Amino acid sequence: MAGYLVIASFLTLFLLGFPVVLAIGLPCLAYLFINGIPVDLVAQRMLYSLDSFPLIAVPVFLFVGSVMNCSGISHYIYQFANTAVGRLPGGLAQVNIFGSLVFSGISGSALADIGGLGRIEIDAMRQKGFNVPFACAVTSSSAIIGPIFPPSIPLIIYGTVTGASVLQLLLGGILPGLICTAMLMGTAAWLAKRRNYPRAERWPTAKEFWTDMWPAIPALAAPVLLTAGMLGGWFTPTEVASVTVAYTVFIGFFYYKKLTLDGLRVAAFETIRATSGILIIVAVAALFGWILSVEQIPQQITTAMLSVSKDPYVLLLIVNVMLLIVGMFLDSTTAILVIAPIIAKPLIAAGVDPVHLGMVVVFNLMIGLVTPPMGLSLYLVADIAKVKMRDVLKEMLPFYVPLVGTLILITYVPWITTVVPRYFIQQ
Amino acid sequence: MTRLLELIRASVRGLSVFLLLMLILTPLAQIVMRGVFGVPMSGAEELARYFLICLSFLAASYVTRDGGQICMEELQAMLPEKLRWLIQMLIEFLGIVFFGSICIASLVTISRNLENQTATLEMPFYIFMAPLALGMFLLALETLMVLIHLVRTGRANDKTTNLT
Repeated sequence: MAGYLVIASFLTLFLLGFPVVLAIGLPCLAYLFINGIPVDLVAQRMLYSLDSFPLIAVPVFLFVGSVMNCSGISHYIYQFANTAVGRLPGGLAQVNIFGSLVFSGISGSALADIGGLGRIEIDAMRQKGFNVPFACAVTSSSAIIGPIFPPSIPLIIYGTVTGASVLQLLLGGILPGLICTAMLMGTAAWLAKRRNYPRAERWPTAKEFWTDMWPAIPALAAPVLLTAGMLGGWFTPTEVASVTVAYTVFIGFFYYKKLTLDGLRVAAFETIRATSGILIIVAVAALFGWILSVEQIPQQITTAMLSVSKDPYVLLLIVNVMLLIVGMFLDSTTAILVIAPIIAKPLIAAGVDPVHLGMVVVFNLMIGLVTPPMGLSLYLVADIAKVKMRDVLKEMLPFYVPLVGTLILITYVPWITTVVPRYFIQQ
Repeated sequence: MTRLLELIRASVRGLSVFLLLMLILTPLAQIVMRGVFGVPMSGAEELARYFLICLSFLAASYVTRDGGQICMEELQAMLPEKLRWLIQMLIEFLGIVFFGSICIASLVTISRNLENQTATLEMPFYIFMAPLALGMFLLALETLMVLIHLVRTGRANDKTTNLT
């Protein structure tokens, strides 16, 4: 009972506007105080929750996203995407989605994508006569690719809290990322044909293609080199993050020559702010997780869920509906930290692959970035483009179809998530 | 007092940048030493984890000062101004209680483990635990400053919603 009170208190405080660190921490502190738990446990739980090597990748990949936006790489990615897919129906809408896929190969953050590439894309689409709320809808829905395509910050956090293999989770995100991209591009093409949106007048010549691809090669090569580095055993997923920073800073300074020391300073402070904001919640959530396990909440949820059905697909349906609702109200990192430890146990007990479950949870919660009332991506694009949130939401409606379609595919065809990690690990 | 506070804030910002740099460089150095020279750096992983702990806790006060703690004030913003002001005062007051309690808990833990040290680097436990104690103290201090500001102005702060 006390465990459920802690959960209810957290939700109440969060909705009242308490910072998440306090919304989680205060009920936990009250529980520990009432039950006379030694104070040593509080401090040690919080400290040891961050004593984790995989978590180091979080600030480092956040830094990569910020550096990319300061170094002009976003501009070259956009230029290449424009040449490569600008002729497809939907023109710049396709460029927007394809550009997000390329960007996500280096950065693991949706907001870094919107803040950097998104700005360029929305401006370009506005100038070409696209409806601006439509441009915002394309930008925010395609930014979801970032957190599922490797490298991915939410997948690293998921792996850390559930014990699932971070390397397998990252590899498992490759196919879902590509499928989501294809479905979004299909939707954009269909809408663009109905609305008669412009596209490039012709396909590029080989020379034009090569000229625009050449400056983007360092950015395009990054995910290939990094994945090869991990699979070849040269570095761990965490070390990959540091290598990516070195690579991004190097090409920003010496290849693109747009990165400045001032830009690095700005990127560093953005990273510090985001890192501490996220990781202090990870620390407090460790207390929350401990209380839940002492109160046997995951076991009770396991029993309750398995009494409904033992079929993993029915359980995944229940989890998906629950997460879609949760994602509307809870921040994605908080939701992963609070919910993943509770639902992982019954689902894995029912036979769901931990990597498959991780992808379902993370992709589902990322849809929360574009659903009201707490869709941060929607707020951000509306703010960048200076348009009304209501207009963006109206344009978002058709894009929920490919996003939910991808979620259904990921959920009910586990092969999509598991085939890549299994293939490479067998090799 | 204000100058001392500004000095502390500047030190926290500078230290945070240094820690971020070390956090990136330590795994890189490990790769170079292992891959190029064939000499793995023992303790590099523990050191990198320690830098992460330091960065997360020490920079937290900077995040609070900068209004960057993750929260959602959409529902609070619908309430009358006076009620919002009272809720914000309550949040800051409970924040001081929470961060202060964790600070005390970590100091007690340090005092009970003075002889202990970490596994690989054999770092004394009080150094290992210090970022938590110091970070929570600084957080309580910044939260107190926000509370004082709320009391002085007598009105609620503007709505802030920060998500990851």
